[in-house]
Amino acid sequence: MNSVSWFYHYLCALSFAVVCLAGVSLVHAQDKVQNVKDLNLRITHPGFASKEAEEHALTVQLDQDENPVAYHMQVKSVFCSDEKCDVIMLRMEWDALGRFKAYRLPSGNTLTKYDHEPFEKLDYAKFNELMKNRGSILADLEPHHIIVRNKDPKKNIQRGTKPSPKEVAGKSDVLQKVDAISGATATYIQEEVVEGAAYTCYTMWHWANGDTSQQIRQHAQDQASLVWLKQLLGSKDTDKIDFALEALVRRELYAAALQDRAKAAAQACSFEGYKVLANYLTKGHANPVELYQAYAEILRGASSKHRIYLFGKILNLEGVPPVEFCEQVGLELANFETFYELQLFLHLVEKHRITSDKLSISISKMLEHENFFFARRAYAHLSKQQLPLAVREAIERFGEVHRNRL
Amino acid sequence: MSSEDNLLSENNSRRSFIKKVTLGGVAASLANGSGQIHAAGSAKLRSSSEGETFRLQRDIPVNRNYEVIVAGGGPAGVAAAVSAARLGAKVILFEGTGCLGGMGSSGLVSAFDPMANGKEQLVRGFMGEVVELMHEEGYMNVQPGYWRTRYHAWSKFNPEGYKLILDRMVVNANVTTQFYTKVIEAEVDSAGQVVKGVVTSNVEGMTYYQANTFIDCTGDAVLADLCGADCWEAGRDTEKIMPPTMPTLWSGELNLTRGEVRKLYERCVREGKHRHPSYKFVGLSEVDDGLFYLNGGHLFDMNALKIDSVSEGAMRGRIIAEDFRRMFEEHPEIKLTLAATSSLIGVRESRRIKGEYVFNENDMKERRLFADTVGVYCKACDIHPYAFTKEAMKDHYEMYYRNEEMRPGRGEMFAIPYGALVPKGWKNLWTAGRCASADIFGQGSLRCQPYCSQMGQAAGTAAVQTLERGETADNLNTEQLVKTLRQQNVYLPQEKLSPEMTR
Repeated sequence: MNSVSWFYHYLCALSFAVVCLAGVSLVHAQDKVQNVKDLNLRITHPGFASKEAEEHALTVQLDQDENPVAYHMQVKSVFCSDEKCDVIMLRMEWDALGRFKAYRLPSGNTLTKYDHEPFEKLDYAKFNELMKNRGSILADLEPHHIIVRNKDPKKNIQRGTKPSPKEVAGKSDVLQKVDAISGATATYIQEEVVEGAAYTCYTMWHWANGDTSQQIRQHAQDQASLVWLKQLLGSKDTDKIDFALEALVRRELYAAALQDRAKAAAQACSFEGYKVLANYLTKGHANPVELYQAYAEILRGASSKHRIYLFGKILNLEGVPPVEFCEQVGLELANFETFYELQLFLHLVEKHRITSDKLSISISKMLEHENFFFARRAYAHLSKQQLPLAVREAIERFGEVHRNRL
Repeated sequence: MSSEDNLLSENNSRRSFIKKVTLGGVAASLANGSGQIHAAGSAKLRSSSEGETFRLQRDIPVNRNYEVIVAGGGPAGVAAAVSAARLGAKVILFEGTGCLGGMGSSGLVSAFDPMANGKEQLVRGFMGEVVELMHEEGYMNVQPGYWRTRYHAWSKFNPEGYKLILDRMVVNANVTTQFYTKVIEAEVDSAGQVVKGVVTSNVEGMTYYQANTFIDCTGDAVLADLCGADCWEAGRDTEKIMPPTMPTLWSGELNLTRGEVRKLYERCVREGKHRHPSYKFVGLSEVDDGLFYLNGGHLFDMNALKIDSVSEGAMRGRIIAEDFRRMFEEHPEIKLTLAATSSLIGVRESRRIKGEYVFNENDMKERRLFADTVGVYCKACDIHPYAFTKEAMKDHYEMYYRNEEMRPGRGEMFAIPYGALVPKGWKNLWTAGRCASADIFGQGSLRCQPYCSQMGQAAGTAAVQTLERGETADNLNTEQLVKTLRQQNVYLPQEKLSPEMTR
């Protein structure tokens, strides 16, 4: 896109009333913009007539290295099929990670409700809260949960809207409930959306947080330079790290330097990110010795939850873990917070009949654990092993002292 | 003979044990070397009044290898066993069928009841872990929002995947699992407060298991009843029995909505095409690609505690399935083949223990959050129509759809107190699952799979707490229990805790 075109986009942006939802400064992001490009993405939206993805035009803003900075797109406020709604075009904005940031209304326009009443201040407050809520229940709803369609579109009923006396005339209380005009099924929608604007909320939420957000995220991951990905992996922002880890898997980027960065991020990523990381390392190593070395690295300092996840994953893999891996983990046993971590690790060792003096010595230290169950589990494991003399003696002592509790 | 002499040597053939059989005795007894083991329990006394009895005496092997015994491998039993084992206890789990999961596997009830209340996920902990694992491995047929957020949403799954996941979980936790094994007798102390051991039966014969703690997750309170714990029985202590269902699985294509199938069913019922009709069509949903779960029809008047009735019910359930097959065959938009009828009948009520606390209608209406809450959930009181009458259907509708006091709204929840898991006065016995201590309204709500799992997790955790701290089931520090459960990611939102259970 040339500079004239870029200036045109800028002017267009100014002509919208900005509703910035996130705390992140868009101005700062704007400073980094060196270029803009138009692109088409195939997007699905539950409001589309077809379930197939449709091509939509977006604009991406890029920094000097051509990394995405932000995205925006023009959308309809509602898919209208019943001649009851006011449709306006809005500009929706996302950051480079595909997170929805803001919507902009054309100057002089306002969102309206089912009965054409404009949104009031409280309605906008509720609407803005909804748009920020990426975990909204609207994610899982189909249009028919929102609109009860009728052969005559003018008689369609929007859930989340108190029905008029005329609409419920002739229906029993029970039918009002089960048919979800306003009752049991619809109550939760009513609380989630702006009264009288359920379908607009639904439509807008899906534009902001639905497949569009996902498609943008993937586009950004595909466009990201390796330098930028490394920067993201080194950040302290969980979202950024998770984004970068997903990008590595998506683009099958397995260079050693990237893997090192990814492993270093193991403690800063989210639990979901940790799962992505484990899968990334699994796919990135054909050599099992190297793979288990990588596992050992991301186990070091990991939380109990992460360790349990990774042991569970390894137990599901085919092939035998190298003894060196088990020896390395054995050195970490004192850091295990829960019995279950120890159980999973020893189950792994026993399943594959892995033995070494070094490992036995590490496990034997658990005999002195303050929690008797830990000590007993170590005993149960060691008592079946060929052991070095010192360990054997410790085992026998433990067995003698606790013979009634084994 | 010392009791140690009775430990079964692996080299010993069971046939070498002396079997003594006497006709005409009063109660079963078992010799274990240290004296006679007499089974306590009202069941024995009742049977003795029914006429001629058979006195059984035999020497059977003794096993003392476990600290926690769990009877029943349904959602409650698996959660109890795994939770106890993950804390370090030595656990054995007895399951009567050949797989874990109970109603979710052998029972083919392939949808978990609501786990969230529209604002937050209520059922987390072990059950949350199961569902997330099933989702990761492609066995859930809905998106995570169904169990993480949505109000009154059922999470559909493939029952074969459920079995595999539960197998893995018990193996990873080091739970010894015995399939095709039933608890058939119990030994209790003279005061009737402590369970000393249980007798199991399987293809190897009978074995006596001595242990420290016992958790009854049989659904029918079989173990509690064998011990002599007081229970309510549906049909004996209640006027009516909520009817069971025999779920079925179907493969193929369905091009009708659930509402259209319901209307089709209702029409066929009106036209007399169903030999055992019901007014309520529970549901038909796609639980995996081309795999449908039908919870259809009711087995009215079936008593789950009477074997002749259960047997007749199983046959009747298959006739109902056949009538559905014929009904589907007639409709051009339905191309479904009957793949399986459930091997476990979907029993909704049988026994309920009389516990330290009885979870009840008022608790539900008040949305009472107990200091010793061990599980929370959001499911309306769902007492199915007792009979094929319009009045019964109306009662059901009134309760399930219209009674907002008995239906938690968005953001609301019901809470299960610890005391509902402990048979009154018992020191080392818990029950978890649909046989927990509740009135018919409480039981009509908490009996579903995810909530049974929560109760199981609490019971398993409590059992280990008694081992570690020398407490008893009926005098457990519930503040400590709640803290431990929270560490296991169980969602327990009560602010105020108390070391004393609610009684």
